[in-house]
Amino acid sequence: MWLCYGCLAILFFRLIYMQILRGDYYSRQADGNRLRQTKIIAARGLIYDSQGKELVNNTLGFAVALQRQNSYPEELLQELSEILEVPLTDIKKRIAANADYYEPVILRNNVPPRMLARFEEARKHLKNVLLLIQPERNYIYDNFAVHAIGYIGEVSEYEISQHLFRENSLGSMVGKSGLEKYYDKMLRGVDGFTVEEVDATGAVVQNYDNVQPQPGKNLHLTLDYNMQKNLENFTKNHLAYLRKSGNAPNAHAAAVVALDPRTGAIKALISVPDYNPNLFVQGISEKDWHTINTSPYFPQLNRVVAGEYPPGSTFKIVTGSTAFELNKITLNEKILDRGYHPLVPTMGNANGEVLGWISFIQGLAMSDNVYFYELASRVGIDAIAKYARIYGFGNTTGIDLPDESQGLVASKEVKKKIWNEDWRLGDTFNAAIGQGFNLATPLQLAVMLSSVANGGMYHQPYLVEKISNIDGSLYQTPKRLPAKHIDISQRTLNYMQQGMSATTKQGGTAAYFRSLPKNIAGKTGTAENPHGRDHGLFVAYGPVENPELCVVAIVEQGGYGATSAGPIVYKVFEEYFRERG
Amino acid sequence: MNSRILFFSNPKILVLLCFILLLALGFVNVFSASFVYAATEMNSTYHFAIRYLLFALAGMACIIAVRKVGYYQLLNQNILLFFGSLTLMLLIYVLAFGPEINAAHRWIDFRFFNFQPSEFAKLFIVMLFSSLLGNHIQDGKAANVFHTPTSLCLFITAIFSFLVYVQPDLGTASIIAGLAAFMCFIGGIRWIQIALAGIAALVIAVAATWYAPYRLARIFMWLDPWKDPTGSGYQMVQSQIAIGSGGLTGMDWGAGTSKFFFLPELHTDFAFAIYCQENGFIGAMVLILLFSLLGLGLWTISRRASDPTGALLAGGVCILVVGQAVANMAMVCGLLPIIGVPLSFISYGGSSMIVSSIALGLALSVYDCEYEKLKTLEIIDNVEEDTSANPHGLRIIRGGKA
Repeated sequence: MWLCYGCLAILFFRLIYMQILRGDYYSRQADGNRLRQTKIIAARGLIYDSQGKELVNNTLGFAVALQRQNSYPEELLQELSEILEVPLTDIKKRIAANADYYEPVILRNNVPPRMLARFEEARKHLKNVLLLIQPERNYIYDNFAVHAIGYIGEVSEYEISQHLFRENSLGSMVGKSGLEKYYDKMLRGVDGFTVEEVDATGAVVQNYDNVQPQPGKNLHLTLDYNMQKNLENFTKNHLAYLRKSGNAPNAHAAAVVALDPRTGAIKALISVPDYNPNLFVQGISEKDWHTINTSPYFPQLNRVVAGEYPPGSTFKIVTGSTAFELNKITLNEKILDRGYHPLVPTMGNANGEVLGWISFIQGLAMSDNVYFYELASRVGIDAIAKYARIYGFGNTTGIDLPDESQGLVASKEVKKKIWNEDWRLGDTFNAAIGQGFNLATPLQLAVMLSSVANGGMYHQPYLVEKISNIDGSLYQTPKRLPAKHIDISQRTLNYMQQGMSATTKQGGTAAYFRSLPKNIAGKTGTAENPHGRDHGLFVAYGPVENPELCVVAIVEQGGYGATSAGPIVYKVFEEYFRERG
Repeated sequence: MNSRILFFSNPKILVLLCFILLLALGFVNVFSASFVYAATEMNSTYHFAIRYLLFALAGMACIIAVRKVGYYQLLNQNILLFFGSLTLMLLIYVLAFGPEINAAHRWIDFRFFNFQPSEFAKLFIVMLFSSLLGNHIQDGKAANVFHTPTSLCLFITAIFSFLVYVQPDLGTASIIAGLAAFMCFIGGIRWIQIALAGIAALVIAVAATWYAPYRLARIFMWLDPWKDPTGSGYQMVQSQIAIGSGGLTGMDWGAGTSKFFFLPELHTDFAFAIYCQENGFIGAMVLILLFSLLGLGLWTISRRASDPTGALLAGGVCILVVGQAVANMAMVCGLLPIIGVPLSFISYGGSSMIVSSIALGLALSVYDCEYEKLKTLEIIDNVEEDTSANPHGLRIIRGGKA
C-alpha cells in the first residue's frame, strides 16, 4: 500500500515539475512544433554610379528548398542531387547543418532556367520540396568595375564558423569581394519571414502574419560609368597593342586608379584582367572556376589595392622630400652625374646615361638615378623610411574595399628580418630609387601623389559617396577619417610639384603630355621585376595650377613607364577633361 | 446502514462511482484526442468516440454479468481451464496468423475492433493465482515458490509471458510477470523468495537487453529523449511537450495542439499526455485522485474479504487496474521507459476496456458475496470492527505491516 502511495507521490511531483515549474518551456516547445517559419530573403541594395545610373540590381530568381522532416528518403535526395547538380554529400551536409532550425533547407540558390524546367517536370513526385522565389543579383554590365563592386556568393562554412557575417545559415548569400563584401551589412537588409501553422507532416493548416523583408540600402559610387567603361576598354586595348607591338609581349595585367586630390573620391579603378561576377551568382561552374582560378594573371586580384609593386622612380619624390625636409640640399645646388656614384661605382643610370651637373628639377624630370643616390647618401635609409611612412607607404590607405595590402617600406629591420643580413649603402641607393625592398600598391602611390598635388593634405580614399534608403532619401554618408595635414613643409611639396611639372615638358620623360589642354605634372617609373620584363609605372596629376585628378597606372611587364603606363594616364586625363569640357 | 458506510467508505459505491467518472473523462478525452486523426484517416470525426462508447456499454454489461454469476463460479477450475486454454490458443493464433501492425503480432482483427489476447492473459493470471493460491491458503499454508500451486502458477505465467514476449511485446510480458510476482507477494510468500525472484528478474532483464541492443538504446533514450528529439526520442519528447505545455489549467477541452499528428498513439497509450495538455495540472490531479479512490475501494474490498480467494482476487484486480494506470502515467511522464501499457478506461482500446471491466466486476462480486455472508450472519453492523481480522495470514490483511 505504501508502495502505491509512493508511486503516486512521485507522479504528483513529476507533474508539478513538468506542468507548473517548466510549463512555459514546454509551451514554447509546443508552439515551435506547430509554427513553421520560412525566410523571405530581403532584396540586396542597388548600386549606382555617380550620375545615378544603375550598375547592379536584382532580378527574379528561384531557390529549391526541402521542408524539414524527421527523415529524408534517400531516393528523393538522389533525384534532387541530379536535378540541381549538387553533390549528394553536399545536400546531406546542408540538411545536417539545418538540423536545429525549423526553416526549410535551401538546397540550391539561383536555380538556372534549364534546371527549373527539369525540376518542374519532376515536381509531382517530389514530396516536401519547395520552390522559393527570391531576388537574384544581377550585374548589369558584367565585367564593369568588378574589382570595385565585387560579387556575392553563398556563405561558406568557414565564414560561418568565423562569424564574419551576422545571423546567417548555410545557403545565405553574402558579399564575397569588393564593395559587396565591405558593405555587406548595409546591402543585405533584413530578411522577413512567413509564419504558418503546420501539422507533423508539414502540411500547412493556417497562415499567420508575414513579416515583410526590409530591402538593403543602396550605394552611390564615386565612379562615373562612361569614364570607367571607356578607360577599361582603353586599358585592355592598350595592353593588346603593347603585346602586339612587340615592346611588351607579356603585358597582360595592369592597374589604374584615379582619385580626386581635393576629397579622396576614387574616379576610376581598373584592374586587368577582370572576370564576370554574374558567373558566381548562380554558383560558378567548375569550368569557369578553373579558368579564373588557374589564370597566371589572377583575374580575381584587385591590383589597385592588393597588388604590391616596387614603386620605381616614382619613389624619388619621397627621397627628394626627405633631402629637402632635412635641409641636405637646396633647389639650385647642382650635383655631378658621372654616370655612376663614386661610393658604389657599380650603380649607375638606366641605359648608361651621363647628364653632368644637374639640379633637383632636372634630376626628377629626367629621372636621374645618380642624383638621388647622392641625396640618399646624405640622408640615410632611416630618414627615407620615416618620410615614406609619412606619405602613407607601409600602411593601408583605409579605402572602403576589403583585403587591402600594406606594402613594405625598406629599412634595416626589414632586411634583417627577410634575409638576416646587414644593411649596406647599396641597399640605401636601391631604396632611394624605389627598388629593392620597397613595395607599394597603386592606391598608396595615388594617395602620396594627391598629398603632393593638394599641398600636404591626406584624404582617405573612398568609393561610396553616400548610402541611400529604398525611397532614395539619404541614409548615411560612410564614415571617413577627417582630412589631415601630413608632416611635410609647403616649400618641399612645391619643389616636388615643380619637378613633376618639368617631367611632362620638353626634355622630360613624358613630354607628349603637352598636347593635353591643361598642364599635367607626372613622374615615370620602372619597377624591376625579377620574373620578367620590368613593370612600367606612371603617376600624374592635373591641372597643375588647381589639381582635380591624380592618376596612377601600372602595366605589369610593360617595360618603360612612359610608353606602357603613360598613354593610359594620358587617356584618363583626356576622358576627364572631355567630360568637364 | 448509516450514511457513512453508504457513501464514502462503502467500497462498492466508491468503485462504481470512480468507474463511471473515469468513463466520462475517458469518453471526452478519446474524442478530443482522436477527432483530427479520425476525420482525416477514418472519414468520420466520431469514429473512435462511438466505438469507445460501445466498449464502455459492453464494459458495464460485463460488470453486471460478472456480478450476477459471482466470482466463485468464474474461478471454478473447469472454467479457469477453459479460459486459460482459450487465451493460450489465441496467443498462439496471434503469433501465427495475426496481422502485422507496427512490426508486431499482437492483435486479432475482428473488423469492428482489434482484439488483443495479451490483455486477457493479464486477467487470467490474476484469476489463476487467486483460485489456486486461495485454495492453498484456505488450507492454512502460505504461498511458496517451491511447492505445487505456486510453482504451477508461475510455470503457466512463464508460458504466457514468453508467448507475449515473442510477439514482441516486452512491456506486457513483464507486466504479466510482475502481476504473478505481486500475487505471490500478497499470498504471503517469504522475503527470501522475493529477493531471489528480484535477482532472477534482474538477470533476465540484463540478458534480454544484451540480446537485443535496441532495448539498451531505448533505455538511454528514456533517460534523455532530447538527445534525439526527431528520431528514437520523438514519442517521448512529444509526450513531454504535450504534458508540460498544459500548465496549471490546461489548454481547454479539444484545444490541445499535439493531436495534430505530432504525438502518435495519442488516443491509446498516450491518452494521458493529451489529457494533461487539455486539462492541465488540475485535471491531472483529478484523474490521479479518481484512480487513487478506485484503488482504495478495491483495496478495502480485498481487506474485508474473509475468503482468501476473494481477497487475492480483489487485490490482484487493484494492481491490474490501478497499478497499470500508475505505470502508464509514469511512462507518459517520462518516469518509466515506454512500455505498451494502456491507461485503464481513459485509453481507447476494446480489449483493455472489457478486461478492466470484468476485473472490476470480479472485485465487486467479492464485495457482494462478503456482504451477503455478513448479512446472513446478521452481523452487518459490525463490519467496520471486523476488518482487522487476519484469518489467513495474507499480506493484504496485515496491511501496512507488509
